Amino acid sequence: MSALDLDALRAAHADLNVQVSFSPTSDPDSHEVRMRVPGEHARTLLERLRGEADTPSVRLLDLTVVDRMDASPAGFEVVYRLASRVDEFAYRVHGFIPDSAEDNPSIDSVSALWPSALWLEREAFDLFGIGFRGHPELRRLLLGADFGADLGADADLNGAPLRKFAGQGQSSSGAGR
Amino acid sequence: MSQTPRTDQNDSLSSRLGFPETTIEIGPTHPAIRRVMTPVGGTASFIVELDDDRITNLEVDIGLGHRGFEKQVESGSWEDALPYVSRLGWASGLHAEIAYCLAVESLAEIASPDRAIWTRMLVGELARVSDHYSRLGATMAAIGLRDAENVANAGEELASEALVAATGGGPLAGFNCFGGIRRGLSEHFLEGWSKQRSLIDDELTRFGSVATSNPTCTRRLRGVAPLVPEDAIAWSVTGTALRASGISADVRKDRPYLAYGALEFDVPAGEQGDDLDRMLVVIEEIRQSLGMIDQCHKILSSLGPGEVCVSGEVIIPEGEAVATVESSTGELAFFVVSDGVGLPRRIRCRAPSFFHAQVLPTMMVGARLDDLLPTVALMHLVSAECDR
Repeated sequence: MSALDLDALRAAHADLNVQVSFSPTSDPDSHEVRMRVPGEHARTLLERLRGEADTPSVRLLDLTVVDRMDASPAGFEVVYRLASRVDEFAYRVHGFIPDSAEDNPSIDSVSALWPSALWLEREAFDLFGIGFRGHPELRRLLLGADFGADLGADADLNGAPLRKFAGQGQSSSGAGR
Repeated sequence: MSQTPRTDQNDSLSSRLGFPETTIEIGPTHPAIRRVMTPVGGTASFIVELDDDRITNLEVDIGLGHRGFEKQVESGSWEDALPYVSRLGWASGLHAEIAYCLAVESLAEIASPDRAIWTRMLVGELARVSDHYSRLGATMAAIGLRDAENVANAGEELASEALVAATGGGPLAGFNCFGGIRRGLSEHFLEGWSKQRSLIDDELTRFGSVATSNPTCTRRLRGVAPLVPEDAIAWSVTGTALRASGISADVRKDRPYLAYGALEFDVPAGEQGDDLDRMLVVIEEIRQSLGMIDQCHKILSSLGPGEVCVSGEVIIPEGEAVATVESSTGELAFFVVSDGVGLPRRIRCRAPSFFHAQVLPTMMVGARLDDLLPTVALMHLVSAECDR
């Protein structure tokens, strides 16, 4: 399957500044392709991987966030896990949102590509305070409306204190469930 | 005899009598929901907009059972997470435990002994039988077929007994550890399996006569809440619901983990993706699982007693790993990230119930209100993994 040809993948997405590597999974015979991409290019890359058809040929298995605010470079990784319809190949796309003092962390929504991202992005917004640009209804999903903070790596089990991006928690708490 | 024709929207009872559309909130503590969802532990609530008894809009509200699972497990060591992981479901918690252990073992590059691999498959399939029976029981309760419900509950009871005999404490026994399992199967289980198996099988035959060959049941479920393959893919539906829609995707076949590649089994698939197809897929999977347990039992009997877990300290280096298993609820995966400092950086559980709760409005709009509960039961929302 050409989808697993790393050089071809690198060449096809060279304009997006993508780093491509194999990532071992629990199954030694199959590999997941790990692609790291700047956050602003993540949606373009995902759109290309999804395919043009009305019905996606690639499934969105999961979307989650890894807090790397204490790492170097500091920021959030939004992780998308994709697989072809009957699992011939799998991708894991890490969209990196660098730390910037003035902006709330945000990335383009993929809910128009896969409707299943609607709740996944709401969950990531709820628990990590990541904004998804273009999401039709970005409001809390799991936590109550009065829960002020996110659950990033520096928050305790009660969700406090929030290290930064304080505006994010406030904007979400007004939305209600 | 034909089904009552679906009422045209303009000719509905409410419009003829001049009633406005009704909005009702079902759950999270509504008795009907408890009746259906207690066996599978649901706490979702449904805000249903109705015209006559037709659902015109449905909002699924989850989160009441949110326990901060991911935050909780990231606050302790890798081993500390295990008891929380097994509580991601009742019987299906065992699948979560296996997935989590596989992910961590993949990080630490540990290979479990053969005995542990075959035992994990055996208890996993037993948990699937138990969980599938509980789903059938919940479905029968939702459509009011009490005799079929009792048969399914009897089957669940028998499978749970076998699971307790095998693991020493049912699904929450803390059976798995990194590098294998805590103890081998008891003689009591190995000797008693063939008898217990025939009892479980008998309940399946009995269920066939009271449910699958009973027109009251089949006509009630046929054509209800169909899910077309395109929607199933777009909404990331997995497990029995995906297979009922005609796509025979199963992690055990497509990306075999443990030793599933060495087992002989079929992946059943439906055609119409409606409630009846979903129920038939569940029934056939119980049959297939029983066959798989037989194969594991044979291999384990020939292996005899011996090492079931790798010895020595488990050191988890820096890295990332994903492990996916076919849980009784669907495709359940753990994505783990380690910095190599002993504490996890990230433990993410991909919970199939989350996606199945999300797709419900797509399936239910246009259906009747009393179709909601059997569909919820067959989509198998387990709140512990849905809300985490």
